[in-house]
Amino acid sequence: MAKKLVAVTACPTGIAHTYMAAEALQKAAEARGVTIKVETQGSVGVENRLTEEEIRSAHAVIIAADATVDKSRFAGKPIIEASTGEAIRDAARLIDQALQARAPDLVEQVAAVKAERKARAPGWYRHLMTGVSYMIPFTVAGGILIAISFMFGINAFQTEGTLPAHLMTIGGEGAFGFMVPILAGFIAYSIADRPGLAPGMIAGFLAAKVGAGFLGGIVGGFLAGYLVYYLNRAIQLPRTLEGMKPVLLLPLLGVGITGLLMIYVLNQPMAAAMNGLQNWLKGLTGGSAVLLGLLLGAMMAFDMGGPVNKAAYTFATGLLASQVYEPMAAVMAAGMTPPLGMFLATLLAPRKYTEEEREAGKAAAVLGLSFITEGAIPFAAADPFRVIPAIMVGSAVTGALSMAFGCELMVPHGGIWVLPMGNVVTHLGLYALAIAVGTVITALVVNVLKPVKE
Amino acid sequence: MNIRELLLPELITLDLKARRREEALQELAALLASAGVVTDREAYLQAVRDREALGSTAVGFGIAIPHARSRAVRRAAVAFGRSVQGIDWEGQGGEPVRAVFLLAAPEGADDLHLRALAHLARMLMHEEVRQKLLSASGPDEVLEALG
Repeated sequence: MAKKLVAVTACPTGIAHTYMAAEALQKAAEARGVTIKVETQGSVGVENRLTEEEIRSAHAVIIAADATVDKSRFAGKPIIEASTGEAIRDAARLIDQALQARAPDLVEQVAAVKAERKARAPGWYRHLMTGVSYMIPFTVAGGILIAISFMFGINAFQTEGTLPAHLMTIGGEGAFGFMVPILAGFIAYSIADRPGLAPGMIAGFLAAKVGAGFLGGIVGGFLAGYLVYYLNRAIQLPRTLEGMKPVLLLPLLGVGITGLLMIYVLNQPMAAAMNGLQNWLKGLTGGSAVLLGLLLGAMMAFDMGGPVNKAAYTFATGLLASQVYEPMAAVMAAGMTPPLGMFLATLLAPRKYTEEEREAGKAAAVLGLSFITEGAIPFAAADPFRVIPAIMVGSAVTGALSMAFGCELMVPHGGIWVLPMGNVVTHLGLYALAIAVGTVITALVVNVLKPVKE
Repeated sequence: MNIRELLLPELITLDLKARRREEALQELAALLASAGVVTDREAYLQAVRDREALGSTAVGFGIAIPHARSRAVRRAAVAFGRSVQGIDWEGQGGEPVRAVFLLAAPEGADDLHLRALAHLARMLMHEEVRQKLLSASGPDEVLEALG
């Protein structure tokens, strides 16, 4: 069967280039004996709109645009991107590229979705995620080293001068001690660049000192970041003194003002909020613990690495700094089941999946074991109304079970690969059971919802 | 809508004096202004320059299609200019531009006009159309080339 292509052309004014590029692509395709349909996003609006069916049966997608074109409907398709100018001058080359293109495999698709999400994220969210991502290594190292210390006996670290005591110093005081300052510091760094780092870290340090935990750190980081950002713009010095700004004025004012605001204004309410949260979480038993697990679990699956998922994840990771470990366990388990469940689903009912999907399922299994929830995205993008409810149900059950079993997890990432280490997770057997049950439920629900492919 | 309703004979010049982009834009905008298409020549030209700043509208094959939508445009129209010696469009001595279509669309242009402009843009992608344009000996033949 001859290969079919689809294309989209667009440019800022949409008067000329959109259409010239479209015409050039059509001509070049004709010369190759290839069928192409070109959607133009020009001044008269979208014309020749591509249907879902056309996109599905197309071998590849060409996007020739000088304006932003939404790529979400092309998930899983090889995409050739070019400017309208390139399409006008050299449409034949684009057509050839498109004909030779192969579909991105699952790992590439996941990376592409992540990059696109990052680019689209609003500023405050990006700042928060920058802070979280710099915090993660501290959390991982701290969690694992503390767990190793516990392997010598749960109270072994209390004997001074012993290896378990040193490990506890490194992991607990060292790595965990830096979590909140690093979180706050890099939120501020993301907002205000280098001048934000010192005020942000000190704000986080002050928050941690009074027990305001990650909530105080987040507030402090944003405070420091925006304060320094505006100070930097407001302060205008004569050229000769300009050099004093980054080395003297911004650090002094930034740290001074942020620090005093933290101590006099923010620390107390944030510490109270954090205490309240901690007490509530520690007091959670039975039904309410299960409810929290259901909620966190469903959030993890809802957008697979998107803002809702990251809200649940940030919440759980932040709590590690306050020695609350159950939500972390629930969140990681629930984040593993969507790709694992999709993998199992492709095994149980191969006729409901395309060959590519069955192949992608194998990669998804590895991503799931590694707690990369995004591994389920290609499945969800292809069939959101069946896949997303199914993985939410599975993740919610897993989250609830993990909470009900009282599982505690001391590290924020790593998936199955960190579990064999003693004491990283409590109730290992039950934890594995929670993940397995959610995986099976995900697979069963999605396969009930999905029709057989003709 | 026919291209002849947009590209009037008085908007065609087969002997552009311009050697550089700015001069060519001025020359063709003057045609649009004297035909009453453009009310505020400078405002319209600025919109055209802004569009150029986003990316050159020289599209290869010796053709450039500067264009803008602007409040300073009264009705949709196209001015066409041909240059014998060629125009250095981007000031970098690239492929000289020999045919320039200056497109003008009013802010609230209706679809009919915009479609006609789109159609013109599509026509230019065809080799035989371009050949006829470059060899036309009068406004009539230019219009004929564009159907």
